[in-house]
Amino acid sequence: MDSLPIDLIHDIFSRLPTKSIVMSRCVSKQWESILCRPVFTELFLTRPPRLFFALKDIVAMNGTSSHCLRHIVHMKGFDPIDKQFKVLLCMSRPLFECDYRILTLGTGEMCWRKIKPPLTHYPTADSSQGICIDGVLYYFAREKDERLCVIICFDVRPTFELCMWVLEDYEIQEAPKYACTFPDSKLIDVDVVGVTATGEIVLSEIYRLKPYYVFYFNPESNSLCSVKIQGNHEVLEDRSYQRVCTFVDYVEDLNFNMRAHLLQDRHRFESINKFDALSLLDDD
Amino acid sequence: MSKSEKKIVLKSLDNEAFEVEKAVALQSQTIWVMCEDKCVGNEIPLENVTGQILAKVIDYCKKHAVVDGDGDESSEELKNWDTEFTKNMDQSTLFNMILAANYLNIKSLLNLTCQAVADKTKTIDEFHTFLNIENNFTPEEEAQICQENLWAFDD
Repeated sequence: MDSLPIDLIHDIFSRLPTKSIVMSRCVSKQWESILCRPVFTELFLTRPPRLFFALKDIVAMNGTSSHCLRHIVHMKGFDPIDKQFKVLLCMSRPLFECDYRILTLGTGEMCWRKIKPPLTHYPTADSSQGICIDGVLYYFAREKDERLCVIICFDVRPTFELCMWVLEDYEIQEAPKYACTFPDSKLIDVDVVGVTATGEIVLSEIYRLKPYYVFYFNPESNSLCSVKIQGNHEVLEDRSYQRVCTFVDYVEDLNFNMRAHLLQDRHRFESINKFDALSLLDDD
Repeated sequence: MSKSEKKIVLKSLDNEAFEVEKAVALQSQTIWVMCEDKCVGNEIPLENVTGQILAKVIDYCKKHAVVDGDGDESSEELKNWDTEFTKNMDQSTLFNMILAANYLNIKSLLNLTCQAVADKTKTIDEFHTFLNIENNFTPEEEAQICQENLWAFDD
């Protein structure tokens, strides 16, 4: 089928599993070039996201948290201009200044660039899942005195810019306000886990429940879509209350080159298969 | 509007003629533009589509022509119809359908057929053979690129 135009090839391939895409890149030079174009990556991102769930026991979590001296938070954002993924890393330790770094994925270099935001802030623990809308990462943080809760907007697009809203009595004048109504029985604990490439905000239930639901909220049309998660339910069989972590951006970066990163940074990483591994970075 | 204005004749590459309701044919943006510009008469020659494929496209358009009324039930029914529609098509028919949907600019049909091709792709090797992709890497290059993307080859 030589006559298939490139945009149609992109369309079909963007619907295939990630593994198939990567395997197809290894077949010929022409296909490697076709499937590495930024326009393809972008199209791939607009497809319905694949969700990744992880369970953790609440008991275990409480047990380990007290030993944690250093607090590391990392968030991934997509820059729609350069069509690249960027990771923001914030490390804070008691008595030290917070350290902020940026890594651009897919460039072949594994270089964390140090940045200095105009405001010292400490991302809160649950903000490791900040949400990224149109190239701007939003996450919760606390100011230096640890009293004031702020929303940080971090622009991952080429011109780095950091602005923030201070939450005073929860009255925000300029921030857009969205309200969504959940179905009656679904008035339960949900987490904001991310945003899809089409701008829908993804919410998932915090606790393992059966049936388990994920919600897609579209701020533009102000509509909420509930998605019942089926399959693999043996994993979710009732045992005890467990927390569910949902990842929206599971293996979506087609340009993440494992080998190059492994060779350069073998001493730094124990394993590289998820972005979680990035937090194993050593100190300078 | 007279009866003749409501009907339109679509002529395939192999000179097969299909008379259809205008509302059915206008789902194709390409035909819509042609009619809007008044650059064609009542007979539209479609030089890229064979009669066999065009017949299927028309089936689809007839089913999807705007019908008044019912909400959810009919959309559910339509979805099932779509599934059945592509279920028994082989890959080569599907590819021709994709090309036709692209040429005629029928978004929903393009979406349906591209998804069907992706869903029917059981193994990627089979798909490569079908797409006629020839390996032009040197053995060294191939070894390197496979090594770089090793994770995709794990089971």
